[in-house]
Amino acid sequence: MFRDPWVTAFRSLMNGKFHAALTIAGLAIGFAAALLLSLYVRDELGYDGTFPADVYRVSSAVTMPGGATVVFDGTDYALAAGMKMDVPQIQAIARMMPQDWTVRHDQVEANETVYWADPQLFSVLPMRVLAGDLGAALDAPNSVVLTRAMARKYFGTDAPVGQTLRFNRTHVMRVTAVVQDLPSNTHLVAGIFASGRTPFSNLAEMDARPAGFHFDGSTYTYFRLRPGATPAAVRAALPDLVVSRLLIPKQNAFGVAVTLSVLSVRDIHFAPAGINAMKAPGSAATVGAAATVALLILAGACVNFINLATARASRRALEVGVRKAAGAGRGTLALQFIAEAVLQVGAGMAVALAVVEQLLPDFNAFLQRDIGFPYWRPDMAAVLLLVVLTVSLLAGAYPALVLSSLRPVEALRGESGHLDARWLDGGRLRRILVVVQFAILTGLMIASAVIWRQTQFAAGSAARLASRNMVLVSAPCTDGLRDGLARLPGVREVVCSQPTMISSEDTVEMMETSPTDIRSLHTLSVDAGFLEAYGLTPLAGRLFDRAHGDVAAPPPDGGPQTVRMVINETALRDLGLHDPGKAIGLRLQASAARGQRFFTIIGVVPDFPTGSVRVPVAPVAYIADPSRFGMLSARVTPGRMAEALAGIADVWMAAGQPGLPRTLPLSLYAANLYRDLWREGVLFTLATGVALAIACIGLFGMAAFLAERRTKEIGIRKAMGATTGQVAALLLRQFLTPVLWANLLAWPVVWWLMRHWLAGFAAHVPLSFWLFLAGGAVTLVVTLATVAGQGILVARRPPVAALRYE
Amino acid sequence: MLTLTNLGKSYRTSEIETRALDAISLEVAAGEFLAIMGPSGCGKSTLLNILGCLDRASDGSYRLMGEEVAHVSEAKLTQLRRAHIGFVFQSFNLIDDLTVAENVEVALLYRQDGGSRKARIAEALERVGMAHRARHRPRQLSGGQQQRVAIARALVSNPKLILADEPTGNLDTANGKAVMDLLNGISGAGATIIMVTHSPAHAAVARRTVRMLDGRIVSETQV
Ligand SMILES: Nc1ncnc2c1ncn2[C@@H]1O[C@H](COP(=O)(O)OP(=O)(O)OP(=O)(O)O)[C@@H](O)[C@H]1O
Ligand SMILES: [Mg+2]
Repeated sequence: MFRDPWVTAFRSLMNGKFHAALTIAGLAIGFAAALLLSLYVRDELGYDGTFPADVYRVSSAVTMPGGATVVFDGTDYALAAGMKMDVPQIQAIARMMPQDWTVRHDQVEANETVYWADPQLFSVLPMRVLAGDLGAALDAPNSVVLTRAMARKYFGTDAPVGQTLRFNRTHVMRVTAVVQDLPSNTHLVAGIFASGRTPFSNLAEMDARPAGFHFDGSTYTYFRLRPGATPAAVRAALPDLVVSRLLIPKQNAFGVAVTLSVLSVRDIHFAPAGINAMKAPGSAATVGAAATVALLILAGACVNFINLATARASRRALEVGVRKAAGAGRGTLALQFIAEAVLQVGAGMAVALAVVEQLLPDFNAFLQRDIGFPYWRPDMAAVLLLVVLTVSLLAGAYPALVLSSLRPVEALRGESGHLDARWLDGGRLRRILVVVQFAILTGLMIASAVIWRQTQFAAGSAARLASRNMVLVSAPCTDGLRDGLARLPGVREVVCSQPTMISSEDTVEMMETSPTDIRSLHTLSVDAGFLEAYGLTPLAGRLFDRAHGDVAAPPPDGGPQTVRMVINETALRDLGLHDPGKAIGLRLQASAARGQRFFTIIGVVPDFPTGSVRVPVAPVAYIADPSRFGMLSARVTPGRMAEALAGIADVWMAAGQPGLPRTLPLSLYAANLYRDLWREGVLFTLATGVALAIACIGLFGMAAFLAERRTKEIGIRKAMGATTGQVAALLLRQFLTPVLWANLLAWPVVWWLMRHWLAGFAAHVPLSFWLFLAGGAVTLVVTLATVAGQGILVARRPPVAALRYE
Repeated sequence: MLTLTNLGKSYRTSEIETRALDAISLEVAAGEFLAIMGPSGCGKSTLLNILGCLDRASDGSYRLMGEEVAHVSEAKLTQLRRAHIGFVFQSFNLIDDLTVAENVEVALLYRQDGGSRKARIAEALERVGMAHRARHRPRQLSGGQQQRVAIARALVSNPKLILADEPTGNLDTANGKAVMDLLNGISGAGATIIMVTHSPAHAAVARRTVRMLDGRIVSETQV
């Protein structure tokens, strides 16, 4: 009795091979896409899940008068020691400070970011050790802990404990332990941890400084709570720590306020990132969108299943009649149809698993992740099984209910035509489902068009940066280096500046338009010729010129100075000015050194976005202070980049710079700026493609079965003189109405959603109406293309064939 | 009206060739009422389908109103059907999604002549006594009533030739008689009718009967 429904279900599937193939293909594609998206969402939500939940990180926000707040993912190096003493709830606290070094072993040499760390780092941030003793690994100065990937990179082995590395070809460092590589879903990007007790480390150098008023946000500080303690107690202690340990009074002459906060490591990914974040933060909106799209695709696959099943149901009415006449009860029949659904959904899932396994390496490469898919593990398998059963019940219930409830007399009345009226109800539900599916499709289509256009927009702004054909060199701006670079073949010019673009440092200065009105502007120190090299021309006034004496460091004795500045348009607006011409000559008082330091505006330039399109262009005051230079921009003749890069290495050595040259082509920098947006664009476009494929499969199947259902009608109409064209039009028309309704449904929803999405960008494309029209038109064309072939085939059949059909 | 000369029809299915019609020669004058009889499978429906331009002969000639039909295009066949022919089927073949009146209208739908469709539909339904059921759906009617609607559909366009394939086959005696009376009346009004039937009584209503066997005409009676 139990076996029977399954056997019958299987046979029935075998009888309708074409139908079964369409159904299973639709489900498989839907499942595969939904699975990939879910794996991505799971990876995002599982960020830093390898660390205990009671590991916290301290971050800081520095607010200046006039509004500017700079957020750091770290805090001052001096905080940790005091915090451990003052807050009893903290069990262990450890710091990490990044520094770039050229690392070498034998012939392998490369630039790396080294994380100088306190010895107890690994008891705060536990990692799996592969070799050595992690507990004591950072105790001794000059000891390093490598990840396995780093160990392999430099030593070609997994456990080079006891072997040595050289930093900048001088300092000898000893490997004391090897840990497993960090997963891709952690906020940490680190491969080399080194003992902070090493005398030449920046951590040790900082610790040697005398105490006093200062704030530096570049030390990553992590702590673990004692068992039973809550972070609330730590949070309560933070404001006092600012005063007692950082020595920053609540009311200070500069008007700066430092606010500390603590964040569980597991919450870091979706929190707003500070300027020294190791990794770009996650976007809850994107993850939410991915989850939504996964559900929509799943829903589309279900709708497809229901549509195909009910479309075919009218053909199976006779079977129901015969079975009922033979004594089958409603329950038995319903069970048979559900069993069929389970078999099909299960088959779809099996195919999807194979597809996902095939695609995962590419998917990981695309996202730069190491997402695994252990579907055999009991927890994962249980979820997948649950999905199969839920989808089977959701999608299989309706056809099962309707079919099994047919009365045998009706089912047996010979002509399937008599049943059609009854199926009208099924037809209405099916029409609603089709509308919903098309609405999802149209919506996805418009959404990915908007995302794609925004990606293109960002790419355009990145391309503008890249077109300058610059290579950025991170080094002190010595004459030797600058002139050496300028003489290289292929290098047109070399200009110096503050390294803000390629480092996490940022300077903000407070200026007073009047004694009561303080504005904070980001100051960026550039050499004469820098703005010209980046293609900026003044809207008013002039740019820096050595002949005018514009380029000048602050006087060493701290005496009075008037700093000349060129501001961008945003800064102009921030200062409450509108006419660039009227700004020239304006003199502002620096709040930090009242009576000593002044700024005068000598020029105004257009905004020059060097950051992501997500963030607004900051108010920038360009100044020309050589003491802040730390980066050189070399403009290269197009096509000679490789040549220039090779030359830079020689100049670097000749100028006596340690290690390997630190260079970054501006095009690479620009590409990184919009990489995440580009990924979103690709992801959504692919998802839309999948939804489209599913919808087409469903349409194709449905068109086939509806045409079949209407065979008799087609025969009659043709006998009455309808032409092939008229019949084809009749068949097509039934798909046009749902497309129109779908657009009406999708447009407002997408408009609302995409308006919010675009609002996340400081600069974005308009939400044009023609995109909506185009989205609708594409759905229409795809629909017609999918069903037209069939419609015409059916319509062309000779009428006798149609009339004979029973 | 129409002339068949040595008309033949073969069906080729995989290896077997079925000769459904063989050397049929027949002449039907305008206004005639002809009955075709014969055992099941002898080719009656096949012949009727060819006469109605729903299907094509394999060989021989078919002249309809002086025009050779055997080799014209599909489009031309459609045009001929539209212009001259009405059908009545054994299984009524009404479209279930349409009302009675709409079903009748289907026969006018594909003609350009326009005119007062409503009036013609009403008149046709009046003639078959189904005017009061114009808004019903086919499945709300009895078999006899459905067949009368089908006849209304066949005659609403005033075709010169009406083809009926076992119009009474699915009906009881009383309903069968009513349908035959209707056809007789239409015949009296001047249309040519060719009808397939298994009932000698109904065949007797027609003035001329052709008997078929294995795809050939074997005898003919004229009253
Ligand atoms: N499409 C087809 N393919 C192959 N053979 C066919 C086809 N249509 C009809 N036949 C064959 O042609 C012959 C004549 O069929 P037809 O339908 O004309 O018979 P009939 O005289 O109308 O019979 P009935 O009285 O049962 O309706 C039969 O042997 C049938 O099997
Ligand atoms: Mg027949």
